[in-house]
Amino acid sequence: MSRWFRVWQKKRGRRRTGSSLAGSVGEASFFGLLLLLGGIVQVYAFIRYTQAPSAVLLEPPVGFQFWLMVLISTSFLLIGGGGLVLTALQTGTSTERRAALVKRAADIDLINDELPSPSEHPGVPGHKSLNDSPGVELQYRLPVIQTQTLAFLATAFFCLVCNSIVIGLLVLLVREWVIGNLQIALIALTVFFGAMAGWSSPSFVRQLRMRAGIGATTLEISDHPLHPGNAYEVYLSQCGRLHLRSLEVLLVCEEEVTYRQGTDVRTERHVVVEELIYRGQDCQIRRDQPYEARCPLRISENIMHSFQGQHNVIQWKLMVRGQGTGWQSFERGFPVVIAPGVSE
Amino acid sequence: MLDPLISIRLKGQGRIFWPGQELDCEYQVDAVEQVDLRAVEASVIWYTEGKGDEDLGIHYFERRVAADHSTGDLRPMRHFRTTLPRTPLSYSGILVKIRWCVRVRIFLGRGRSAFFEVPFQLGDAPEIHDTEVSE
Repeated sequence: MSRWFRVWQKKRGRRRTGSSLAGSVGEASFFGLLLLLGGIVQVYAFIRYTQAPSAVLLEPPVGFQFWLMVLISTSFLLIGGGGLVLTALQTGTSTERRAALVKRAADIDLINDELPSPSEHPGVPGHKSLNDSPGVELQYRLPVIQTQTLAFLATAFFCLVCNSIVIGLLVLLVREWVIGNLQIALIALTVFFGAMAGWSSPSFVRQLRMRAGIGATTLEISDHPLHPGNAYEVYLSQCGRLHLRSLEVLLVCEEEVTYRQGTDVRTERHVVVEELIYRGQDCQIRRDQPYEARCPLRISENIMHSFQGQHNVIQWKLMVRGQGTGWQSFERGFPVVIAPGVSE
Repeated sequence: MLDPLISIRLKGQGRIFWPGQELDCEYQVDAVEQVDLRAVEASVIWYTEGKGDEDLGIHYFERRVAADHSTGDLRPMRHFRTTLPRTPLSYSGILVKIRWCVRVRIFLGRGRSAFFEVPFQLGDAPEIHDTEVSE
């Protein structure tokens, strides 16, 4: 514990330079003061109200101002009280003890005794939501990870806004030109938004063609969840109207972490395993004739299982990667769960 | 004033354990006055290391306080055993690492605390150094 109280402290990895007790006292003092302030303001507001000459409820002079003071003081009371209780609970309680209490609460199954215990495979994500869709060719149809829909909507919105502004500015520009009052600033603004529209429109058209031209990708699997050492069968179906140099199915393992940097929450991903399980060459896909393929999938014995923490994830997925020319290249991911052992 | 000593010993064949195997452990606290030792917590936990914020899961936990003991002395050798779970296995990836350990934390007078931990490996998941691409 440091001898002198320091205003500024530094977090070094998992350690802090200052005393944790002093930190807890400081935190409790802050929330205590907030609670006290809220109480004083609320008492003051009510005394003012009761001493008002026209003591009719909800009538001036205690209208808006009174309710604003009540609202602010109540928020102070809630934040201060809540913070104080939380600090009191956390002071002198170790991380392990808090985790044990949370685990004990999670293990109490109040709803249904027949549900599997969450502690059977701790840390392994549930697979029930992935087994919802029965397949046509094989047991299960895997859901696709929707990662590009938001990007497409954002591009479409940006393109629409830019083009609308350009049209509006052009109309204004023509009107000004007709009356002979052409302004340089208006021309510069039109050129700027014209350039933005010119930059965003090809990207939007490319994505639109990609979504329209590349049809649905279906991936089915003979069993799920997957277990190390077992063999499975995968069925691939690719719709659309395109010609691909290659169409691959890969088994991919990706690590994903979230961390706080200042006030931001950042996410980072890194592919750690990429195993090719099927490659089709020179694939001609027609509207009436989707591309179909079946391939074996063997999960090796010595492999890490799927893991789902609050901030750290190890995610396995089957990836379909099509490589064509120009816009005809795409990647689509289908999550799978790899669970250790075969005892379900 | 001396720092308290916490010693932990894992019985068995070293530091590699398998899912479902029994973990046999002993721990002891020394170099601290009996009256100064208020509580002792022993736990078997996993936690993550790496770029992401830490996740922590608890498998075994026991807390002993001086008031609960007839002698009031928490320093002597204590023994516990627990069957290890099937997951999560120890893992050493690029962004994520999963570590297992036995941790003993002691609570002393005037709000002081100290802990000591002994790591061990659960399972034999491969160590990842770079992206593995195979065809």
